[in-house]
Amino acid sequence: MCKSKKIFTIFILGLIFLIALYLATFAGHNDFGLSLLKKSFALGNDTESILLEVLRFPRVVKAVIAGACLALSGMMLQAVSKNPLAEPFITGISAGAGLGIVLSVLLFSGFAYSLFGFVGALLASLFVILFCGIGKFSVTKLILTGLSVNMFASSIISFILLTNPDRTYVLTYLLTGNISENTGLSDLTLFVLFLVILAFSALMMPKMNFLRLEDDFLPELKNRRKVYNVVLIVLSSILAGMSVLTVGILSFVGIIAPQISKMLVGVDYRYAFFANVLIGAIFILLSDFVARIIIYPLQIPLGLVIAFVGAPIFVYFLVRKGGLLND
Amino acid sequence: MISVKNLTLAFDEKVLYEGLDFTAKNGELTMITGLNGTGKTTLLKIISGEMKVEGAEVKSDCQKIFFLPQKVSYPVGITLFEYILSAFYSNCFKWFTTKSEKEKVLKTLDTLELLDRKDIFVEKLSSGELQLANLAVALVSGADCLLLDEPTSNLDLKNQVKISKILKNLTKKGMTCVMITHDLNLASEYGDYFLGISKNIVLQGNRGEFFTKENLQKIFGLTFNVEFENEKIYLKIFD
Repeated sequence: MCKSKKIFTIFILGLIFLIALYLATFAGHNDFGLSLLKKSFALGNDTESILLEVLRFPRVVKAVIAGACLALSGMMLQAVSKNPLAEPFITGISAGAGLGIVLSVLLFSGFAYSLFGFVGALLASLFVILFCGIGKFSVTKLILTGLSVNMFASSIISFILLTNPDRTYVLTYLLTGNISENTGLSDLTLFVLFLVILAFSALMMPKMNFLRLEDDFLPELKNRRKVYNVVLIVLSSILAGMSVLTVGILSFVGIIAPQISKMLVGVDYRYAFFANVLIGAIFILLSDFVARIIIYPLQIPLGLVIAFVGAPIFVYFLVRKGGLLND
Repeated sequence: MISVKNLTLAFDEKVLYEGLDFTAKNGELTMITGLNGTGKTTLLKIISGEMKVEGAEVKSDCQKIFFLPQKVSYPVGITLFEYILSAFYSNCFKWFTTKSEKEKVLKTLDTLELLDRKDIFVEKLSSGELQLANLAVALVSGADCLLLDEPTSNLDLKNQVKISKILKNLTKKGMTCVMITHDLNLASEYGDYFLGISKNIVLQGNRGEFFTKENLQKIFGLTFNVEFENEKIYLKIFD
């Protein structure tokens, strides 16, 4: 695949991203229309401005952050583990996040539950990574330890769900994955944090190109490879943690965004980086748009929409000509 | 040049080497041959420094070692050119490869007669071409010592000869080169120094010293007919 074709693909993805951004911000039952596009640059005190400022803008920012983080995190883990089925939550993230959310509901009746989830996610992945040992690090060990931690914590979550029937509805809703209304951090802080992590990830992209080569090739670089691997895994955990902070536990995006990007731009990670950020963001923006309008005025959980819309799209990508299953 | 001195290694009851001294000189193509499970790959790993053995002394004046394992995992979805270019992303935080690096890759592909395949996806290449691609990675990464674990297995005769010739040429240019092979014909034709590993014994020597009926009998437990003619060696199993 030549360079210009990849750049063109990323350009098209950028256009789709802008359309998705427009739909998520301005379209819906309170259709603002294009005439109000300019309003977003000069927010006043009228209802429409307030709706945009208080509800839609923060929502869109979080959707973009979550999508980009999940996609990048999945891409890194798939590259490190050389396994196309790896997903962001592999290092025990979903279980840690789930436990954090459940605890916040039980102890503080849901106060800043996303922040609890974020901390839980990071603690769980920290535990898994340290348990695997940085010196004798191996990806297989990481995946199996992460799996065990996930199982262990899910059993606790299930137990709590069963023994607290009065809170089961709230907990199930929060655990499905939704754009969080209150993350405990201001939107600006969140966005700056996101940009910093994004910049770090960008630095690692050429390294991922190097990791495409067989591990044993240059024995003197073996330690350096290990360091890169650990850095990428820590980075992917932080990215997945960011997604928990903004949308809770959303699976699926982290597996399929990297696969679709692989089909579109290949595995030159310098291009895949942009493709993944855009695909992840588009995915969540559109899903949120659907979740918002489909049975208005009710909103269905984002996680449901993503699985419902995402699964067929993914299967289409898998079986179409030149898709993953036709390698 | 890489040398191993006083190497003794045993796993439980099984003794692999006892006080082995061995030197791979630069300018010589060293061939290791022998029975399965007698520690040929282990020896390569000890030479490469990946495996440390107590009491053994490994000396090397090579700047950079390249190790080609028997099984290599290849990425899916990149071209041969990009595959080889990956070697340049190992260090520093640069996002782009320079023009001279790209030219180096093209030049290396040209010498390996792979230039017309540069835009083919790695998964579409034949095993012979893949093995050449790995050699190209070794060359562009600036390695001056190649350790190859059965680089010619699974290849057709033409490619076996091609790879052996390329390695021979590289050693003539001063590179240190050690390869494992099971093909005695190929070894005797292109090798300069030989190491035969069997249970409990390691025999070594140059072509004349190594290829004798007695040595081959000791290593493989088979009777061979060995004939010398115009500095060429003709081997035949004599069962």
